[in-house]
Amino acid sequence: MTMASTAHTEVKGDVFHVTEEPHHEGHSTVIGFWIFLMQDMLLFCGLFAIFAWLGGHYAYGPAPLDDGTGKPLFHLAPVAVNTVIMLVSSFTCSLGMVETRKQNAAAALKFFGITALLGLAFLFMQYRETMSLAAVGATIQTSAFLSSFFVIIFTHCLHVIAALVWFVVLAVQINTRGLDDANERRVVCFAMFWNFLDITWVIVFVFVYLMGVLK
Amino acid sequence: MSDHPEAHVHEHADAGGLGYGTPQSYLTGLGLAAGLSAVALGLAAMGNIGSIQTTALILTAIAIARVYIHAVFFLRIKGSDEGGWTGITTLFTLITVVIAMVGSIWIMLHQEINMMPMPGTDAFRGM
Amino acid sequence: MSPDTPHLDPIFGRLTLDAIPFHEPILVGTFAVVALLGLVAVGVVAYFNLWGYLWREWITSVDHKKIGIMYIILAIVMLVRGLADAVMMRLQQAMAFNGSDGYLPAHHYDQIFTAHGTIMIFFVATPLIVGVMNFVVPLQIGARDVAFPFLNNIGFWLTTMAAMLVNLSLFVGEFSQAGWVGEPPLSGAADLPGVGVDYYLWALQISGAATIVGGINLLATIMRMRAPGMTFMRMPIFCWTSLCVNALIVLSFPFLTISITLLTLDRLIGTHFFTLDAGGNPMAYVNLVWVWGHPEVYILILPALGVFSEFAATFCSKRLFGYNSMVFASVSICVIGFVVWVHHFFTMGSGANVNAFFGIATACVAIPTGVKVYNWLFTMYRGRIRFEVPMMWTISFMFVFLLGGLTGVLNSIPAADYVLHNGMMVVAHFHNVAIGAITFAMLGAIDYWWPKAFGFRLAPFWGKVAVWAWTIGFFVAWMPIYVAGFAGVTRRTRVFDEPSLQNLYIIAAIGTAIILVGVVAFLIQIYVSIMNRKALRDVTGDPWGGRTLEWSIASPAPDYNFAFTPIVHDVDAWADMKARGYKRPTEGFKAIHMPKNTGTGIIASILVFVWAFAVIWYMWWVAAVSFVLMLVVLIGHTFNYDRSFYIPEDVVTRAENERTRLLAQQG
Repeated sequence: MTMASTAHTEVKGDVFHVTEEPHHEGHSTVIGFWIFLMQDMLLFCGLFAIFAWLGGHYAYGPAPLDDGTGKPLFHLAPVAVNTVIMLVSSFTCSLGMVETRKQNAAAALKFFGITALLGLAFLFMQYRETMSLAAVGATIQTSAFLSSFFVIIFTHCLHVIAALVWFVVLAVQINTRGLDDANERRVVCFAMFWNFLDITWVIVFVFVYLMGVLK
Repeated sequence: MSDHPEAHVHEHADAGGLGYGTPQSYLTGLGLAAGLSAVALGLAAMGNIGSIQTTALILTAIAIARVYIHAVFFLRIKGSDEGGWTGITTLFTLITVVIAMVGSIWIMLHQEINMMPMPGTDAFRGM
Repeated sequence: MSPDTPHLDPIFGRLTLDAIPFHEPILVGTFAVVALLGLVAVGVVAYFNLWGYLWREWITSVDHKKIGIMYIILAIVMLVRGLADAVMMRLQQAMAFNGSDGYLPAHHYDQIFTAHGTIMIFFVATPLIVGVMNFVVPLQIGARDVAFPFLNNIGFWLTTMAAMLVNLSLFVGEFSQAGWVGEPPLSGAADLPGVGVDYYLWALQISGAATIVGGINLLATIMRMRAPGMTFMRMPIFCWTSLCVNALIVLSFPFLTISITLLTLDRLIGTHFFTLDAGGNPMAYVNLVWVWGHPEVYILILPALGVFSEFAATFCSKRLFGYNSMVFASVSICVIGFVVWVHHFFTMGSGANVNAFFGIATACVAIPTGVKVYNWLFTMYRGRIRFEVPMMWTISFMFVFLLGGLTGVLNSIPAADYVLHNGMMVVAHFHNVAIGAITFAMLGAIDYWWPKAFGFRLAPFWGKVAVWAWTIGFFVAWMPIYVAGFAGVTRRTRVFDEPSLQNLYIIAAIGTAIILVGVVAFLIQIYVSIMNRKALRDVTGDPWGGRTLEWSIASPAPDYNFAFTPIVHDVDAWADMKARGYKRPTEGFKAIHMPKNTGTGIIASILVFVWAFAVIWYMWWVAAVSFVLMLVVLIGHTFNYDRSFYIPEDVVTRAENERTRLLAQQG
C-alpha cells in the first residue's frame, strides 16, 4: 500500500497506538535522492558564482573570442552537438522510464543503454574539446578564467562518468534480480540524476558558452 | 506481477510522476527543447539583438524555459509529489541559489570598484 | 603541485622520516600519552574479550541511538584535544610579555590556533549536535530509526576518520597554519606548500560530505517518518530546530565543498582560483566560504536553542510558551542566517552599501533570538521549576548567551567592525555564544538524555559542580578578553609588546583553569555514575516527568524504540497521553521490522582515510589503489539487497514484559 507520510492519518479519540505498523522501507528513497540533487545543484551554483567572479580574468591569455591568435576559443558547433546529444539522451532515458513502469526490463535496459552510449559520446566530445584547447595553450592552469571554465566542465563530466558507472552496475542488478521494488527505486533515481545532468548542461551551455561568445 | 499491471503502477504513485507520459508527449518536449536550443545557438552565433544585455536576457529566458520543459515533459514532476516535499525543497534551493549568486555578484562588483585590481586582469594592465 | 616540487618517491610520495617530529618534545610527549592510552584501551578490550561485542553492537550498528552515542563519544575525545590547544594558547599568551617569546615558536602557535578552531567546530560541536539529533529526533517523532540507517553509519565513520586525519597530522607532518577557515593566499601553494593545509582540507572535505549525508538523512526522516497524527505543529520544538538545522546543512555545505575543492585544486594542480597571479582572486574564496560559514554557526546554535526549549518545558512542568512563535523564530533565524555572511569581511572592500545591507540584516537576527529568550522566560514564569542539572545549564545559558548575542549585535555594525575586525572582541563574542549556548546545551543534553540511553541517571552533584565551574570559569576567562577587545588587541597574537595587557591574559588563563575544573567535574560525574549505576537506575523510563514521546518507553530504550508506533493528538504528545490516563499495552506484541547491521561503513571509511592520507603525501599509487577498493566496497554493498530483519515477537514480548514488571514495582 502506498505510504506517504503517515502523519497525515488523523485518528480521533483516545487511541494512542497503531494496530497496523507503517512500512517505511524504501519510501524515503526518492525524496532523499531529490534532496541530494538539490545540494548538487548548489554545488554547481558555487562553481557558477566563481565563474561569474573570475570568468573575465583572462590573464592576457586565451579568451572565449580570442585564443591568442585572433581565432575564437569557443567553437559553437561541438557545443551544439553536445547539447543535442544530452537532449536526445534525456529523451531516451524517459522512454526507458516508461518501459520500467511497464515492467519491461529488457526494453528499459535497451533505452538506458542508448542513454549511456550517448553519454559516452558526450564525454568523447568533451575530451576532444579539452585537447583542442590545450593545443592553443588554454589549459586549466593558464588563467582564472580557464580554471573556472574547466572546473565546471570537468565537474559535469565527472557526474556523467559516475552516471555511466551507475548504469553498468544497475544493468547487472536488473539482469540478475529483475525489476523488483528496490531496483525500480534505483532506476527512478538514475533517471532523475540523468535529467539533472542535462539540466545542468543547459545552464553551462547558455551561461558559459553562449554568453561567452556574445560580442 | 504482469497479471495486474495497473495495480502495480498505482503502487508506485508516490514515487513521483516519472515515466507516466506517452511517447508523444516526450516527443513534444524533445521538439520544444531542440527548437529553443537552436534559437539560442543562432542568437549567439549570428550576433546580438539590440544590445548585449537584451541578448543575455533572452538567452536567460531560453535557459529557464528549457529547464522547465525538462522538469515538466521529461521528469514529469508536480508540486504535489512526495507530499509536496520536492516542491518545497526545490523552492528553498532556488532561493538559496538566488541569494548566493545575486549576493556574490553584488559583492564582487563593489570589490572590483573599490579595491586594487588583481594581477592578470585587464584592469590591472590599465593601471 | 607547487612549482618546485621535490623529487617524489614512487611509493611514499613526499613522505619521509623527516615528517615525524622526533625533535619536538611536546609532540613526543603527547604521542607517548596517546599511545599509552591507546594500549590501555586495546588491553581492556582484549582482556574482557569485547572484540565481537564491539563489532556487533557498536561498530557495525545502524541503530540511530548507538550512532548518536558514538558521535558524542568522538566529540568528547576531540574536546580534550581542543581544550589542550586552548590551554597551550592561554599559557603562551599569559607568558609572552616584556621581551619573553613564550614557549611556543610561531609555526607551532599558528598550528595550535588553527587546530583549536577546526577541531572545536568540526569535531566537537558538529558531532555533538549531530549525535544528539540522531539519538533524539527519531524517538521524539515516534519512529524506529532514521530514513537511511546505512548512510547514518557511514556518515559517523567518515567523520571519525576525518578526525583521525587531524590527529595524525600531529605526529606525521604538520597541520595547517592558516586559521580554521583557511583563507588564501596564506593557505595557497605559494605561501604554505607543506602538508599542513592539505591535512586540513581533506579532513574538512570528508567530514563535510558526511555532514551533508547526515543532513539529507534527518531531513527525510522528519519529513516522512513522523508518527500518525504528528503534524508539523505538533512536533517537539527540538525536532523543529533539527528540521531547520538539517535544511541549513544541505543548503550551505555545498559552498564549503566548492571552496575547499577549488583551494585543493590550486594547491595540487596549479589552477588559479585564489592565487595572486594569472587572474586569481583570494576574495572569491573568502566570499564563498563565508556563504557557508555563517549558516554553519546557526547550524551549531539552533539545536542548542532547541534543547533549551525542551529543558524549559520539562523542568518548569509547563507547556512551552509561544510554540508557534518559537517555530517562526527558528525558521526566521534560518532564513536570515543566509543573508548576513558579509559581516565576516566588512573590512575587505565591499563598500558602504553592501556593508549597510548585511550589517542591518545581521542585527535583525537578534529579533527572532529575542523572541526565543522571552518565550523561555515566560515558560519559567509561574512554572514549578525543578533545579535539576539541565535546568541549571538553562539558567546559566540565558545569562551567558544573552551577553554573547548582544556583543554580536555590537560587532554587526560595520563602522564598529572596522575597529573590531580580527580583534579579540570578535573572539570573545563567538566563544561567548559557543560556550554559552552550544557547550552548555550539549552538556545539559548529555545529562538529560543519558537515562534514556543507558538506563541510569547521572549523579547530580558533580553535574552541578560542572555548571558552576563552567559559568564562573567562562566569566573569568572571557571578560578580560572583552576588555582586550575594546582595547583593540589583535587576535591570534603570540607575543605582546604592551605590558599593561598581561594582567588580562593572566586572569584569562586562570579562567581557563576553572573551566578545566568544570570539564573534569563532568568526566568525574560520568565515572561516579557508572560506578553507582544500580542505585541511579531509571526504572520508569520517565525520570524527569518528560513531555515528549521518548519518555514513554523504557530506559535504556529498546532496539526497536516503540513496541507499537504511537498515535499523536497534541503537542507534547507524552504529556497529553499521561493527562488523558493512557494505558500502556501489555500484550499483543508483534515482530518488528528493523535494518540490519553492516560492516561496509567502517571499511569504506578506513579506505577513504588511507586515500586521503595518500593524496596529502602525493602517494599516487596508494591513492589509486585505495580509491578503487573504496569503490568496490561501496558498489559491492549495493549488491546486498538483504538489508533488514525482524525482531521476533517473543523478544519484543520479553522486553515489554520486563518493562511492565519494573513499572509495577514502582507502584
